[in-house]
Amino acid sequence: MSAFFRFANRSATKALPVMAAAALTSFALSSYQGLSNCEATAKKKENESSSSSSSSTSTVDSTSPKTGTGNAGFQRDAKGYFYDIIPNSQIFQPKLEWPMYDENWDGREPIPSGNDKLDRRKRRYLRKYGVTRHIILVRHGQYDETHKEDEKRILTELGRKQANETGKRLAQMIRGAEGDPDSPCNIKIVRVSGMARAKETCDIIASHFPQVERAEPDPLLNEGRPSHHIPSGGKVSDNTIHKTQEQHARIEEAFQKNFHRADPIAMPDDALFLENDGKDVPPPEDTSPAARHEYEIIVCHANVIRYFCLRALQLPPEAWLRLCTFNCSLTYLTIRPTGGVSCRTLGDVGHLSPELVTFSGHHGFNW
Amino acid sequence: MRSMKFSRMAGALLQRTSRNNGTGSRTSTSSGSKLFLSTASTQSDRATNFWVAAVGSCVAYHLYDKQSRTSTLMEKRQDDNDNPETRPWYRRYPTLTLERMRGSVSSSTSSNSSTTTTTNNAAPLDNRTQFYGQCLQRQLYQPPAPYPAWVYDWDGKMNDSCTKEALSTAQGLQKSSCTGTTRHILLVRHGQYEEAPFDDRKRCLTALGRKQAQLTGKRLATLVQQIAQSKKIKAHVHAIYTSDMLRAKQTAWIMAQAMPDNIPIRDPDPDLNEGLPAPMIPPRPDLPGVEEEVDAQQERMERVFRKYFYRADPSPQFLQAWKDNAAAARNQNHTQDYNISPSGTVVPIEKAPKQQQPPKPMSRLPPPDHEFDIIVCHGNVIRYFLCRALQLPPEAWLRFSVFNCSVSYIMIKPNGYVSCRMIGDIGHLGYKETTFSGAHGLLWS
Repeated sequence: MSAFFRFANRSATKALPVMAAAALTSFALSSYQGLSNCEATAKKKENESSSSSSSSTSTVDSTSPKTGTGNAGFQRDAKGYFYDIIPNSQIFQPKLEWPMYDENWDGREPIPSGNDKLDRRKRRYLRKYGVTRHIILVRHGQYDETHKEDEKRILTELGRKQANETGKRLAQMIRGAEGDPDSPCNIKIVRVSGMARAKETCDIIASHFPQVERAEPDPLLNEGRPSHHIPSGGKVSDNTIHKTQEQHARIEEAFQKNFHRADPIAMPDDALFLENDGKDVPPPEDTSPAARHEYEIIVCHANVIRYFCLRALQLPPEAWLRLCTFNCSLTYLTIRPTGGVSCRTLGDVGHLSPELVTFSGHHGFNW
Repeated sequence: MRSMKFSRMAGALLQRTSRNNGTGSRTSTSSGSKLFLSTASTQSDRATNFWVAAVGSCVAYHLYDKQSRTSTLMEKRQDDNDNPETRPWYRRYPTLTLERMRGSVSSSTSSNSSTTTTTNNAAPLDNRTQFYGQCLQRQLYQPPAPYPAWVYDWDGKMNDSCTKEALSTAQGLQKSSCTGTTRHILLVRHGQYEEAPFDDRKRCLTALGRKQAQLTGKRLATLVQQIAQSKKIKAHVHAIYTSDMLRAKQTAWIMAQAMPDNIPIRDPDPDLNEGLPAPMIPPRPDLPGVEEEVDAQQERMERVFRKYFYRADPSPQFLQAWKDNAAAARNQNHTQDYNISPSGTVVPIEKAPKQQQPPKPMSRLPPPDHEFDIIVCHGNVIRYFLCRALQLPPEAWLRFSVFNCSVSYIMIKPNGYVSCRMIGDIGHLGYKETTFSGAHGLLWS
């Protein structure tokens, strides 16, 4: 409740509360709208490739805006090149044209029940008492790039120092008060990719909060080329096209798996018929901030982090190389219970002193 | 405290009355003294005197303070509200009605064609065509090339060395990005401020805001030190810019205390003031007057973006060297052994023997330079700058949230490429100093 009012104060307005805005779009909490985009796309593509022939008449023209048909992702039957640099079949096509925002980006938007008042009340309840997911993406520390095998590409001494400082900073952020060991450290889980440098960074970070659950290393989060990057420095080579084709699907699947709103909480049934427009709906038992916010830490790699950030904010992912995440930087995204996403920090290295700031081989900022 | 002062006054009055006991206190002119018992010898009399003094001081406090103390919060707001100049933007326009809200909000299954005209209780704007019901079509930013294309001449300063063709080769890319001045822009949001008054001249930083500004100043000072120490690479901090609003000026002033004295602070720039830079997608129909405010501020925001974000001018030697290099490359690739001069005569090419060939023009250029600018301004302005500099749709500006005294960092290479190194960096602040205006810490959404 206080969090809601802080949000309203933040808007610095005495007008209608924010939830009234959300309340105008009517939704129900009884069922979801179906599969996530990636799964639907994958199934559709499998069906198409097995049954249809290679010739197709649908062409994506880069000059006319695309309307809301199909699913988000690579459109494999697109022909031609985007400004002569990248094949259109490997340009990420959003479900609705840029810069539209898809409310059902994670496939968990509830289907409207038809009763506007009920849907508004449920949405307001969810917004007030639902769980907000805070996802912090950490890039690994500086590592030894001289070897080819991944097991030998481990952190340097500087990289280990960076990871230690990052662990301290995360513990401080999530504990909520400096040096208070009794504060709840409600990190739900710590995820890590399957590569040695990320695993080593994660080990060092997790030593600062030993009681938190750690997931098995997930090879879906490994480094790769999530999509092409624009500006691309000329026409992309066949090697790049091939690499992007095989790695995009994996990284997109990792995105769909990790980025979605939290499971909804159900409004109590006897609250459905209250007359006071839902203002008397009894809150759930535990309304402390710790119960309504959960943290997740994902230790992975620069390209993956930048792609995740742009996809979560529904921005063109081909811009990923315009961002730059330093070693052991924090990228912090918030996903509200009603599905809204906010990026709070990207590439935060304020916890590292300037001599610890590196981007692989480059030190500091003068490069 | 005023109440203590009046108690003391009442007490002094009491004492004077007691002292005047012998000389006839009933002739004292003060109205309060008539209530006091002239002979305060017994304990009960003293007790009575005490209570009379206490009540009297309270009454006096309220009577006095009602006249001269500043008005209550609501009265203060009423004063500011009455004056159109100090009224905040969300009070300048008529209140949003339900019909207007319904008209401007999109449903999840939006139609493919844009709808026209919505009911509007306020003064009708000229063109009401909507972009899928999200915002006004005319307020939508139209990029020169459709997303996600990169516009090479985004700042109007393109030259031969950074055309699309020049940057298509690895060699061209490397040469143009590592020669010349790279501009680094650090955007700092002001600290936490008093949001109660509507007049901007009264919206100063809170104590926490001042603390945040101090910590940010220390952080930037360490960065500046590191920048100045680099011997191999030339780097310097150019200037500190600030907007014309009190909270930004205060933040800049406090930050500058921690930083070296040789960094100049430019005059406050009113163009950097807060406002609504672009419509919001997804929209916020709960906020009144968004369309009018965007109409008023959009042009100014784009102008101030162009004012601060551009690639550095290349030096004339670099451009000449680039032309020489390109000519030399053309000559080497040429299979024929003659050229046609501009006047039309045929000129044979003499290929110089290898040991006499002059050194390559690009190697004679001065080393690259790095120039840092610090701009202290406001959340909306920073987010708009980030979206525009990275050539992302500016309507997405509200999808970012930058905390108080956060640092955002944009780097513009000499060839026009832009790299964003951090957005909303708050690592230098402790958890207690992390605020987003009124929201403390991170456990809010």
